[in-house]
Amino acid sequence: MKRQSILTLSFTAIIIVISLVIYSSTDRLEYENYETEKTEIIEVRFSSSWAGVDSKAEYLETVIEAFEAEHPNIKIIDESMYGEDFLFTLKADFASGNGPDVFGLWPGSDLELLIDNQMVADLSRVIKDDPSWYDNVDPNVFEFLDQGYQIYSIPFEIIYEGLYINKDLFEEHNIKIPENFNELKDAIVVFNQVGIVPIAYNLTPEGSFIYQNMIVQLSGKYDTENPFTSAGNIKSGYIEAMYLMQDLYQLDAFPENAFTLDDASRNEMFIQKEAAMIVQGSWFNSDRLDESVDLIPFPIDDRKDVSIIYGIGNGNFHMSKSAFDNPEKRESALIFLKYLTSKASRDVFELTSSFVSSSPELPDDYLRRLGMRLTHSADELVGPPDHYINRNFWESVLIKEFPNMLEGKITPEEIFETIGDY
Amino acid sequence: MGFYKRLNIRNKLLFMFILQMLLPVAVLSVFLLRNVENSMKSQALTLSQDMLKILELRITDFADDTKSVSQDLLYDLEVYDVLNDDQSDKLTFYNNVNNLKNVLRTLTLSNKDIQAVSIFDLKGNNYTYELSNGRLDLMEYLPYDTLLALARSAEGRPVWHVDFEKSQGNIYLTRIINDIDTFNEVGLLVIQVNMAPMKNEYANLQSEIFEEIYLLDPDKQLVFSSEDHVMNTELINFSERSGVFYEDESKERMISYRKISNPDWYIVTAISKSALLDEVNRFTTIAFVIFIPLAIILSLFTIFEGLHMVASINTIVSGMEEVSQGKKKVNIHVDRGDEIGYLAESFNDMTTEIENLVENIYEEQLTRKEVELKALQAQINPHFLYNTLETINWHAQLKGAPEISHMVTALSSIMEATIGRDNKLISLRDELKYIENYISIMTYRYEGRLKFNKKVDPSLLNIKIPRLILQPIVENAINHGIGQSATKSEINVTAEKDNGHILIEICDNGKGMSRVELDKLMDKINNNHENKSIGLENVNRRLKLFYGEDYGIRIYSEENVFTKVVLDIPEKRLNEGDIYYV
Repeated sequence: MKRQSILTLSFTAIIIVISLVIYSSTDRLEYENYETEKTEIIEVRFSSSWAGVDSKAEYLETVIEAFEAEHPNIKIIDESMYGEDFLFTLKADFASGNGPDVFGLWPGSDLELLIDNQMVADLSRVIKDDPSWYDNVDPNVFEFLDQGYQIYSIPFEIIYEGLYINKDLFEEHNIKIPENFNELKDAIVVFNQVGIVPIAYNLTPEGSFIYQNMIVQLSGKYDTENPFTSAGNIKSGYIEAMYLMQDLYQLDAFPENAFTLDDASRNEMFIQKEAAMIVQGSWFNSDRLDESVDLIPFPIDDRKDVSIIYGIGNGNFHMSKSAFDNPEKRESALIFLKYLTSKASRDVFELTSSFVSSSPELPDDYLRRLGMRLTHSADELVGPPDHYINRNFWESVLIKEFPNMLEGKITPEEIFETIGDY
Repeated sequence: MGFYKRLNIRNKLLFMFILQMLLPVAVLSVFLLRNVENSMKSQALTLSQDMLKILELRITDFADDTKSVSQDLLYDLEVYDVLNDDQSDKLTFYNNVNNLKNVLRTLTLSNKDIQAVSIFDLKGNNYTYELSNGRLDLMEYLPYDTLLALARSAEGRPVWHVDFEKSQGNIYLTRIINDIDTFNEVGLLVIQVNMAPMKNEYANLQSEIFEEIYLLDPDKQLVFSSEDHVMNTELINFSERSGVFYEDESKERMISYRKISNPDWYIVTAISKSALLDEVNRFTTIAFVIFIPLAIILSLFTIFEGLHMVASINTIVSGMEEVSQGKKKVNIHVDRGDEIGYLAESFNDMTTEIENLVENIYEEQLTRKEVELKALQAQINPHFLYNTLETINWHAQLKGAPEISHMVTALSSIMEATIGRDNKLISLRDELKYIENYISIMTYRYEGRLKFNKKVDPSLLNIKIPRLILQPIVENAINHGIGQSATKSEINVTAEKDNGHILIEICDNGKGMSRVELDKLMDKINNNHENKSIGLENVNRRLKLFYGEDYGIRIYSEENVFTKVVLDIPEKRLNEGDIYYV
């Protein structure tokens, strides 16, 4: 019986083994696929002008690194570019359907063009659904943006412009700090006499801040932001400001090499106390400026209201509509946008005084306090004039013709003759 | 089971041989061959997928490069200068167009994967650089309307198109050009791909195993193939990233494919199964050529050995049959050193032993018959004598002769013991009683000159011993030791245990024997000579027959001093019911 059981078990085992062999020998098409199911990384393309030598570039890098560490499944492709090519590339990318998912762009005609072409997402619903996000921005700044019921932009950074002066030079040469254009001209004369460049200026688009500050003081808020008459002509403030520029040029208020001077050298001239004044914006703040520097409205007419150029800087962040409509990217892009405009991010950017936050919290350093005093002293806050003039005209015509205008070879009126074409 | 049980050993061996050798070999062969085949197919398919991944990277790189070229063009202001030119100033327009052509030429010449770059304005004018002709009117074969519609649907993003309407699968990348200041459509960009470099690369990847490489568009139309072979692609599953399948029922070619996401194409390769398995098939053939003769030789050897084994067993079986038929001595010859050889040898030993045993029993019976015969010859009818002795005893008692009565009673007891031939063993106690009766008679004969002493271990009184083994010795002691002496003689009988033996000693103080006489006597006893001294020899033979050659009697004597006969038997308990021929 025992033997029979062993034999039966043996035969059963043999049959099982043979069955297994037959099964394992069945013709099957199999292959090893080494594609591991790795967590899918969503790439979010980002672009801003905070790159290269921009003072906020390194902080942007820090913020992106911190974000990626917190969100390992999101990769930020930072396509930020410094300088004039930023805007051209951004527009060319959007024109070719290749726009970034999240981008920073100051308010103005270019942003409006993108919004009008439905390339920018309306974030009103998502941001209002998240109070912690919404409250991070001063409501007045949202109001200043004036985008109606929609929220296309998250204004994270504000800018202001004014006349930065080396107080110590004025005191050293006993020169009164100018409160109107005549006092400015007097100061220029004295500075020239003592061999100090009165105003650090050059003929790049960034150099045009002085011209823009003049426009604002001459035109006030309404005429600056609505530069054209009903007939389509440019308003007088834009013309008069050019004539004032000619006056200063003739007074040798600018460096001798102003036509060829680059932006960095121009700034350095002021920082090194080689120049007494410079018209700059809040992005000019840095730890290289100390309390010997003061910031005042550009002096034109002390009897008129003080208008200060105030606006949203390039830290004005947006999400492209294509990313917003893309279910694969929407969530990741929104998370990044929220992080970029969060308090944690602001704390990083505020390490540089060139960044002025749109947060309602009070600034805590000297240069930012100067800015606050400047904006608070203003009777009105005005957007930068170049935001209201076609950008292409501004750069291709106005800036290009400025040397001719200063030299008297072309009149301000002639410059604006072709603006109707833009 | 019944079937197997009924098989004879030869068939069982054959059956086991088939089971143990052919079955595992067959199963192993099938297993190995099929699994090697499957493994090679699997490796080839894995390799094909790896190759397709490389191709995917190459195609993706190519696609990205081509897209970058298109994007670069859109960053180029020369493009917009031409497209936005109202052509009012012919010289300016001429310059703009020349600048644009330079740009197109540079791009085309610096990218080996580009055949031609064309930019169309809204009026339908095109500005083209074509690799082979330098300048060519593409409108003849370029599907402008299709490309325009596709590009418009992509809203400025690049889109791939493979044309089968006007050409044999020309590949185009096209995108709408929007003005960067107004975002209005101002033109169409078309890049025609030059597939020759990629085709050459694909041709290099081809091998005997990877026969062909195909590129298919989402409609499974052939973008290009390395060979002009029509392939069955119906089984390609669009929802899967990659896959494999047999091309058709013949299973001659395996198809391995992979989906590329950029552009939305499929890369497919056909693997020749025969080329893949060529080595395996060759190896299999060689293996069979070696294995089959080897298997035949091994089978013959096994069968021969099996048959030889069976023949040996049959020899043993025949021997056993002879024994069962009554033949006592059977000697079989099996020339083997293994268990069967040992079995045959043991069988031979066994028959020899049986024969010896039978002969011994026969001889013992013969001896006993002989003793009985001699006893009958020597004595008158014991029953008559016994009855007569009883009558004498009765008369002696009536006449008041107690000595006669005592003698007759003793004699009668001796007679009773002598005629009690029931072949049974008797106890030492009874044997001693018999001796005492015998001595009692002899005492009368020798008129008080005989003294009998016994000293027996009480534990030995109940042991069973063959009948009448002491009496002949005592008789000898009286006849040869005491009978001729005028002095008073003693006969001492002792019985004791000694290290597994029982020694029964009968010692007299008669005339004894010289050394020569003792040796002569021992020789007579041990060599079974015919002589008158039947008693000692008889006792010795019976002891040896009964207990074995190691036992028997020993005689010690000194002339004029003593003679001692020692019976050496084993201390072996014999039961009452045991029957022995003694």
